Amino acid sequence: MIPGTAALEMVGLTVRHRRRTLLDACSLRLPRGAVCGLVGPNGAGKSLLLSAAAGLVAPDAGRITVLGRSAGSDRALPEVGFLDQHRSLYPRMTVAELLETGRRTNVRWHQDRALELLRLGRVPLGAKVGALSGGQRTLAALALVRGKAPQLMLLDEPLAELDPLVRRAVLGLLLADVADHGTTVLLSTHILTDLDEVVDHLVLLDSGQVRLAGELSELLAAHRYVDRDGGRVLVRQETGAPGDDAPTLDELVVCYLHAPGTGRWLAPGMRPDATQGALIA
Amino acid sequence: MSAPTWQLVPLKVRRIEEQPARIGVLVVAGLALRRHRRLIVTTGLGLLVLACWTLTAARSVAASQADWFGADCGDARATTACEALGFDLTGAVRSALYAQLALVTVPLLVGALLGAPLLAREYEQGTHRTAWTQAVTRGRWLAGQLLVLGGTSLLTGLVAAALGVRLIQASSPAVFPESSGFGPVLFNSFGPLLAAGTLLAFAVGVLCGALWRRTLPAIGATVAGYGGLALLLTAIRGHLWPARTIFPPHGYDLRPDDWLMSDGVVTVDGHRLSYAQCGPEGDCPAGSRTFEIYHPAAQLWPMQWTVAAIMLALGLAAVLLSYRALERNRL
Repeated sequence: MIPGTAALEMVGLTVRHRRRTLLDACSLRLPRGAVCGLVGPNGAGKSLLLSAAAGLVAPDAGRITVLGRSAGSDRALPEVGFLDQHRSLYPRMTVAELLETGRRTNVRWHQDRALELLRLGRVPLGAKVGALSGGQRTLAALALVRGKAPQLMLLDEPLAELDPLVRRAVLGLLLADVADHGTTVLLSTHILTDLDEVVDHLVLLDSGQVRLAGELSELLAAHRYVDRDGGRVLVRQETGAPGDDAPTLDELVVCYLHAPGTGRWLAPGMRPDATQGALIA
Repeated sequence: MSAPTWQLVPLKVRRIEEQPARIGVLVVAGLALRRHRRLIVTTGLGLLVLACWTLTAARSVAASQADWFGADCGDARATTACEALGFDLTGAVRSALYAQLALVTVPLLVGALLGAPLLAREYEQGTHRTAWTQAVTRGRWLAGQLLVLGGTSLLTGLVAAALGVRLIQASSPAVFPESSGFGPVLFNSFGPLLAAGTLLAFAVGVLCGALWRRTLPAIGATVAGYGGLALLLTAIRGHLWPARTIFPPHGYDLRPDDWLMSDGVVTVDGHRLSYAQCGPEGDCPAGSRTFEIYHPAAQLWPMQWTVAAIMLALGLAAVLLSYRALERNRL
């Protein structure tokens, strides 16, 4: 690990596909130890952003580094865990074989951490991965990520197929990793209510652009309701503390999505070094 | 004792980053071996069936051949005994031809079943996203897969090549020109060419999988791509080694193992005419000599090695292109 570097940093990250721009000059810096929620409507580019951070998609422009190394490089791979949206595991492999594969293809392996997750869903070790239920498959894929003990976890909709009890337990384990090992977690989700108590950072992605990014308290402090023209409107302010007229996280996100013209705003803590101050629209 | 003198020496400070622990290619190969074990066993069984078939056919050809030469029919083929022996031999050679056709399809099968799915299936099932986000870079991952499935292809090719040699040798020296190793089908059915061709088809399959990313289109492209290359190389094989030209007193005196490219007559003024050009009745100009341009039987193996070398070079290029396609990392 290169000390002093961000867990994830992207500057002007752009990905195009057949003349469509799927990620449009995304810049942000995720500090180490953060638990960051990546939210946005369908097709906003959340999965693509995570894939790019995992090194599976090369940017057409801009750069993306994880833990100070270029994404997907020899040195980045051992420290990054990636849960992909479809939990693409070899269907004919048993869960035990999956863990064995994880043990042999990673520089570290923590079988106990992997098993802890599997136990939550009573996932049988002898079962073929293809025969598992959706939730169990998610747990198996998560176990592969957690057993690797990465410094950065990139989790695409990790909670989508889990029942509420397991969901809480999984979040508990992930938060324990953050607390005990300083792991950084970037997880995408549709459901903000999952995240309220868990995440401390938020990134809002909309049409391939980072619309809003920052630590929760910073985000909330930077916005407040004011009375204008006989109604209440949400405005952005550079300084100030959250008061009674601060919005909730939900309201903030919905407000940005409904007003595409409001531009983008990155809290100072999430601005990449190279673009300090240049990203306030 | 004098006081020590101090001197400032410029030091270069370099940050030494610890080398990441690397997962070896052999570890990946071990996992690949386990994952592809069914495919490898199936390939082995297929080879076993092919071997039984080929060796049976070879034995019957060899027996008929021995009977034919034992009877010393020579030019006096008219006797009924010789006619029967000739009939036997024709039948045996024909059934051997089916086995040889099967051998020619070995590279196509290897390319389609071992080569093309190697990457195409990973992309199709999305499992590359899991495989390439462990601590193994995709380059080393591919090396491990190539070691296992490429090794299987090589073994398959070598066994098929040996079986082909056995068939060719059973009908050697050839009694009919059709069983000469120079023929378009037979040339592809044995020896270094068949082994190299199997490797080439595998490599073409891997490349097609990297480019098309869907199993069925990749298989189609592999069959078309390798088939095209094999046809092309078969078409130009006669030009890879210099043909010999002789001016024998009479035409039609080559052995069946030689490969006649063209023959005809040389007119008095030095023009070469094929027999067909002489005229509808074959009335060639008086006083003209005959000529024959041909590849002697001794050139069969050098020609095989030459084509095999070209195939290996093409296969290497296909593997390198596969690596490039893999690293390009497009969406």
